[in-house]
Amino acid sequence: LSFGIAQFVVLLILLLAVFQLTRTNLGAWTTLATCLLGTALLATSRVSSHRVMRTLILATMVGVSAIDYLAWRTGVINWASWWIAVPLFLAEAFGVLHTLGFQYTLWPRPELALTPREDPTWRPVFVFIPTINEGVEILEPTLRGVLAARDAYLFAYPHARVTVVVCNDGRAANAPGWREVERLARKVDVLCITRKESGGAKAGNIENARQLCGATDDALIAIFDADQIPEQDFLLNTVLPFADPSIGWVQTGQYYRNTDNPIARWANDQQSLFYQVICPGKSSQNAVFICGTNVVIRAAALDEIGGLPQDSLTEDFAASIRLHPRWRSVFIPGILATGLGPMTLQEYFKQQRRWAIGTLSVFRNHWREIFLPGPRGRGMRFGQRIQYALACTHYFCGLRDLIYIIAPLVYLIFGIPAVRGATLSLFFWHFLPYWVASQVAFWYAAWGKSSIRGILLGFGSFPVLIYSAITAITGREVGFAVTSKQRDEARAARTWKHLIPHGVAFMACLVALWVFTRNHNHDEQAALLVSAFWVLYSMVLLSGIFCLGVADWLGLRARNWYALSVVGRLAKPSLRFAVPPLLGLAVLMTGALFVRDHSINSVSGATVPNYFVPDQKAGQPYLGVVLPVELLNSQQPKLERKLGVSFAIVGRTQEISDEFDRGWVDRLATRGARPWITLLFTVPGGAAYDTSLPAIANGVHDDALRRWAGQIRNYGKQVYLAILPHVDRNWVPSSAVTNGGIPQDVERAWKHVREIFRQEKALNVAWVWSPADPIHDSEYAPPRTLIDIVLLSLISYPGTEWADPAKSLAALTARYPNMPLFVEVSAAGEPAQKAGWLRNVKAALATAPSIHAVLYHEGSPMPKAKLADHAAWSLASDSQSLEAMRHIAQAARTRPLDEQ
Amino acid sequence: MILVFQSIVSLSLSNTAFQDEALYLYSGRQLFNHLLGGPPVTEPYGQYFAGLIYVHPLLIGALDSIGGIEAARLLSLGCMLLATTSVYLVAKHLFDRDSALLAAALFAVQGVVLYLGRFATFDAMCVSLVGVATVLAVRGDKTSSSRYGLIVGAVLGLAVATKFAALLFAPGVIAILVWQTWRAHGWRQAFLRAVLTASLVATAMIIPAVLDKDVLIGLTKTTTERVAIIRMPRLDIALRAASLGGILVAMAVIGIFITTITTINDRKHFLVGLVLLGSTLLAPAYHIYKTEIVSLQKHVVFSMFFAAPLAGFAVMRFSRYVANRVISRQWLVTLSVCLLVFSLGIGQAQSLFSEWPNSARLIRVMLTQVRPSGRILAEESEVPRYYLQDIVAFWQWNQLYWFYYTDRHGKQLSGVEAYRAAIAEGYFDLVLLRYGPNVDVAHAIDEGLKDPTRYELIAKIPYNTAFGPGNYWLWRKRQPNAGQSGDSTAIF
Repeated sequence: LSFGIAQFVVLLILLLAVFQLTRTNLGAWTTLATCLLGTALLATSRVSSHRVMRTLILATMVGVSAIDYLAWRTGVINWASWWIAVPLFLAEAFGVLHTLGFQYTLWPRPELALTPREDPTWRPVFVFIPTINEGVEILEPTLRGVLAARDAYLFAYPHARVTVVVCNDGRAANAPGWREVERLARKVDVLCITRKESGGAKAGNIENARQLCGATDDALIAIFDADQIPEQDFLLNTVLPFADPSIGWVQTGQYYRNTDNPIARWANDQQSLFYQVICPGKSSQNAVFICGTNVVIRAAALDEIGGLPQDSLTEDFAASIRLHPRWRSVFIPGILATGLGPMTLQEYFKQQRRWAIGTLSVFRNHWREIFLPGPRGRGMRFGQRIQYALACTHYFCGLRDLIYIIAPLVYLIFGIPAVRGATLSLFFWHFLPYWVASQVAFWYAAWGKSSIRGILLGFGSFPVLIYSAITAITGREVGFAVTSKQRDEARAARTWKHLIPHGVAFMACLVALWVFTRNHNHDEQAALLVSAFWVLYSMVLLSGIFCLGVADWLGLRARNWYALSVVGRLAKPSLRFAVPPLLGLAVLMTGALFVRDHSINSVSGATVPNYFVPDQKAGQPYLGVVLPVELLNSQQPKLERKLGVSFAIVGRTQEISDEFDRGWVDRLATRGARPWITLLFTVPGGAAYDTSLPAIANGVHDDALRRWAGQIRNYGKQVYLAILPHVDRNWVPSSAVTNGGIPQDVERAWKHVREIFRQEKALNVAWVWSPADPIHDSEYAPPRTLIDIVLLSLISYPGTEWADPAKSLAALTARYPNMPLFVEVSAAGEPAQKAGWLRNVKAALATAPSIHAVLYHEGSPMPKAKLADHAAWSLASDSQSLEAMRHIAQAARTRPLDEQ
Repeated sequence: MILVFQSIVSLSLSNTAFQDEALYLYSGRQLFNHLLGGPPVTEPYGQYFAGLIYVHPLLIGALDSIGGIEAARLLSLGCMLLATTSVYLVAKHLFDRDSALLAAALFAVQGVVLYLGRFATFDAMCVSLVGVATVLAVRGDKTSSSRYGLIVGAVLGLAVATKFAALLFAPGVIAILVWQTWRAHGWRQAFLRAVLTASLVATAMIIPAVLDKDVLIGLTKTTTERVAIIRMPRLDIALRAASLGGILVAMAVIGIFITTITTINDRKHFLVGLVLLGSTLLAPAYHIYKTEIVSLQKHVVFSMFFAAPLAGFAVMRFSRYVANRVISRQWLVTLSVCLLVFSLGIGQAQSLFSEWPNSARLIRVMLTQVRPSGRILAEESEVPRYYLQDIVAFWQWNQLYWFYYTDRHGKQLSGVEAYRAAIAEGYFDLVLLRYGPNVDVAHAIDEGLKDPTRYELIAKIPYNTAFGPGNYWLWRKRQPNAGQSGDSTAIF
C-alpha cells in the first residue's frame, strides 16, 4: 500500500463511520461508545499526556454527538412553518459547525517544526508604533516598553540593529495632540514619521513609514498599537523563529492590563479564549493570522503583496489570507505585551463592529482563496482553509444568537413550533449528549484561561454583529475608527441606546414567559417547558449584559463594584460569577412553574390515626345523606336548612381513577361530618375486564389503590369506604356473577384491597360491605372480621311494592348480629305513601340495636338520571316526607361523637 | 471501560421474558424450591433441556427467586463480561496488549454478544466457560504441571454440562492446549494433558447420564440427534450467520493472513490462529448441516469468541500501518472501526431482543381474568405461566404442543381433536392464542372459540416484534347466566 492509498483508507473509514452515524441515529449511544471505548483504546495509542488523551476523547465525543444531533434534527424540521424552522435549523447547524471547528482547532497535533538556516539577529528590525489620537500619556509607556525590549535584544545580540518608529497620523487626522507626539519621540530619542495626508488608515500609516524608513527586503517589522506595551523579552522571543526562511510572521497574544475596568476585564476574558486556546491550535496548522499588533513580520513577505492592504478595516487579516499560501506563521504563547481594552460598552461594541465588518468584508472579497483551489495548486492547505473559514464566518454568530432568542418566543407567544415530531425524550437523547460533550470539551480547554464573562460579552454583541453582517453583505463603506483607550465618563453616563436591542429582547422574553404561565396545554407540555427553558436561558445571558451595562452606565470600576452585593462577583476572576445567573435561572424557572401549576397538592404531615372502629348506639344512629355528584355541593346545605340539623355523614360515589377529594372532605370536616365514599373500579375509557374481580384481586389497580390509601391516610380523619358495591348483581362491572367474576373472587379482591390499605397504613377507614342483598350474601361475603359495617339499601321505586323496613332490618340483624349497619333509604312516590314509609323506617330503626347510621339517598338511583329526575327522590320532595325525615333526624345523632 | 460499556448497552435492551427464558426460569424455580424442601418438580425437564438441569436452570432459579428475571439476566451479563475478558486474555497471550484491547472491544460491541448478555439461557454461561477454558489452554505454555490438564478439563466439563453444544468446541480447545504445551514442554506433557482434559469432559457427561436417564435423552434430542424445529435452506442459514458475525470472521481471516506475513513472533501463533478460525466456523457449520435456524443467533457467539482475538490483531496491525505512525490518527481509525461495528451491533441486538412479543400488556389483561382455579389453554404458555406463577398453579396451564383429553363420552383424544373436544365442552376457562409458533394448531382449533354461546373474545392485545405486528387473542368461557337483575324492588 502506498502512503496515498493508506490516507485514502483512513479517510474512507472515517467517512463510513460518519455516514453510519447519520444513518443510524443512535443518539447518546455513540457518545457513550466514544467515551468508553475511546478511552479504552487510548491505551493502544501510546499517548502519554493525560491532557492530550482527554482532549482527543472530548473532541471526538463532540464530533460524533454533533453529527448525530444534526442528523436527527434534519428529520424534525417543521416545514409547515419553514420561515422560522429553517432559520433555526441553519442557526443550529452554524453553531454545530463552529463547535466542531473549535474542536478541530484544538485537536492535538505535533508542533510544526522549524528549519533554522540563518541567524535572524543580523536582520534589521523596525519597530512601528502607529498612533493617531491616543495621546502621549498612552504612547509614552509604550515607547518606554519598546525601548526596554530593544535594549534587552541588543544586549543579547550586540550586532543587531533595531529602529523604533512612531507612525504619527495625528496631523492627518487633525488630532489635537500630534505635536506632543513628535516632542515625545524626540524626548525618548526615537524616529517619528508624521503623515501630512491621510489614507489607508492604520495600514496606510505603517506602509508610509515603512517605505520612508526602508523597512523592506531583509528587514523584520514589529508592530505595536499605541497602547500595547511589550515585555522586555519580546524581541528575544519573536525574532529567533525567523531563522527558518519560510516564516512570514510571528504573532503573540493581545492582553489588557486595565482589567479594573469591567468592560476591559470581560473583553480580556474573550481575548484570552482566542489567544490562549484557539491561536495555539491554529499555530499547529500554520494558520495563525496577523492580528495587527504585537507581531513581527518579515518585510519581504509584505513586499510580495505590495505592503499591508489599505482597502480593509482589518488589514492584518487581509494580508494574512494573501500571505499564507506561501509563508508560514508562528504563534508564541504567553504574555509578551499588554494593552488597554475598551473602557465602555459602547467602545467595545464599536471595536466589535470594526472587526466584524472588516473580517466579513475580507470573506466577501477572498472567499475564493478559502474555498477554491489555488492556481496550479498553490493555494492554502486544508487546515488553513478551515481556520480561515471559521474565522471569517465567526461574526455571523450574532444572527445565530438572534434566531436562538426568537424561535422559542415565537412558539411560546404564537404557538408556532420550529420543530415537529420530536418528543422530549428524543430531544434529550440527541441534544443532551451534544450539549454536555461540547460544554465539557469547551471548558476543559478554556478553564483558567477564559470565563463565562467572555461568553456573555460575545452573546451581548449580537445587535452590532447583525448590523456588521448586513453592512458587509451589502458592501457599504465604513470608516476606520480607532478604539478609544480612555473612558469618557460623561458620555458613558448618558449613553444607553446601545442596550435598547437587549432591552427589547428581554421584554419579549418576559411576555413569552407570561404567556407560558397562562398556557395549560398538556399535550405540548414538554415542548413548552423546553422553550421556556431557552427563554430563561436567554434572559440570564441578557441579564449579564444588563449588569455590565449598569456598571458601565454608573461609571463604576471593578473594585468599587465589589460593594454591590448582588452583582459583585461579576468582576471576580473565577467562574463564581456563574452562580448568580444560575440561581436566578433556577428561581425564575421555579417561579414560572409554580405560577403555572399553582394547583400543586400539598400533603399534610398528618400522623397515622388510630384504627377506625364504627360505634353503635341503640336507637341513636348518625344521620347522613348520599348525594349524586351533580348535587354534591349545592344540596347538602339546602337539606340541612330544611331539616334544621347538620348531617353527620355525607356519601358519594367515585371512580378509582379520581383523586381523593381533599377539598370536599375538608369542608365536611369543618361542618363536623364524615365522608362515605363508594369506590368503583371503573376507569373512563377503560376496558370492561379491567374492572373485574380478578383484576382487583391480582393487583391491576394497586397503584391507584395505593394512591387512594396514601391520600386517605394523609387526610387523617375517619372515612367510610365501600368497595365492590352490589357485587352480587350483574349490573355492576366488578361483579361476582358476570364479567369473568365468580363468587370466590370477592373474598380475594376484598382482602387484597384491605391489605393494600394496611400496607399504606391507611387505618382510618371503616370498610362498608355493600352487596345488593346483604341478607342473602353468604355465597359472596368476605369474612366478617374483614367487614366493619354492612349496608342495607332500601330504595323504593314508584309503582312497586315497597319493602317493610322492619322485616328487612330484622333479617339483616339476624344475618349480621352485632355488626354496625348502614341503612340507606330513598323513595319516590305519593307524598302520603312516602311519608308513611319513612315513618316505618324510623320505627324500624328504633328497634334495631346495631344501626350505625341512617342515610337518605338524595336523588334518583337510576343511572344517568337527569337533574329534573332527582326532585321526586329528594327527602324534601314534599312537605309530608320532609316532616317524616325531620322525625328521623330528631332521633338521630346529627353530629359525630369524638371517636378518636 | 470496555466492560462497563458492554454492561450499559446490554442492560439497555428491554423486553419481557422470551419463551425459553420463561421455561428455564420456571423450571429453575421449581428445582430450587424442591431442593429447599418444596414440592417435586412437575415435568421431566431434563428430557428436552440442552444442558444439565442442575447447573444453569438451578442457578437462575435461585437468582429468580431473589431478584426475578433481572437477577437471572445479570448472571448472563456477568458471563458475557467474563467472555470478553477471556477474549482479551487469549489475544494478549497470543499477540499483544493493543490487539487484545481491540479484540475485546470488537467482541463486546457485537450485536449477538450484547444480546446474549441480556438473555437468561444456558448460552452465556456456556460461552464464558468455553472462554475460560480457551484462556487456560493458550496459557498452557506457561506452566509445566500435568495437573493443569485437570483444571482445563474441569472448566470445559462444566461448560459441556451447562450446555451440551460445548462438546463441539472441546476438540479445538484441547488442540490448542496440546499445541501450546508441546511447544513449551514437549509431547509427553501435551499428551498427558490432553488425556486428562478429555477424560474430565467425558466424565462430566457420563456420570449424570448414568444417574439420570433424562440426561441422555436430552443430549440426543437437543444436540446429537436433534431434529430441526424450523428448517431453512442451507444458503439462507449461511447468509444469516454471515449477517450476524461475518464482519468479525472476515477480520479474523485477515488476521490469519497477517500472521503469515509479519514478524516471527506473530507467525508462531499461526497454527493456534488456524484452530481458532476453525472453531469459529463450527457453530454455523452445525446449523447448516442440520438445516436448523433456531438458536443460530445464540450459537454464533461461540464463533465470535474464537474470531475476536484474530480480528483484534488484524485491525491493530492495519491501523498501525495506515495511520503512518500518527498516534491520534491510529486511535481514530481503531475507534472508527469499533464505532462502525457497534452501530451495526446495537441495531442487531435491539432487533434480536424484539423478535418476540412484549407480553407486559398480555399479562396485564390476564391479571384481570386468572385465579387459582380453572384451566387455561395458552400458546407459548411458558411466558404467562412464568409471570403468573404466584396466582396460577402449574396444573391449570395447557399448551399447544401436546394435549390429551377424555370427552364426556369417555373417548380418549389427543392432538387437535382433543383441543376441539375440550373447547366444545368448555374445559378451558381461558384460551390464549397468538397464531405464532403454533399457528397451524391455533387455526385448527379456533373454530369452537368463535361460537358465542361457548366463548367470548374479551381482548385482542396488539404487539409488535421485529417481524411485524400481531395480536394476542384472549377468549373467556361464557358464564352461565347467574346474574340477578333485581329481584326485589325494596332491597338491592
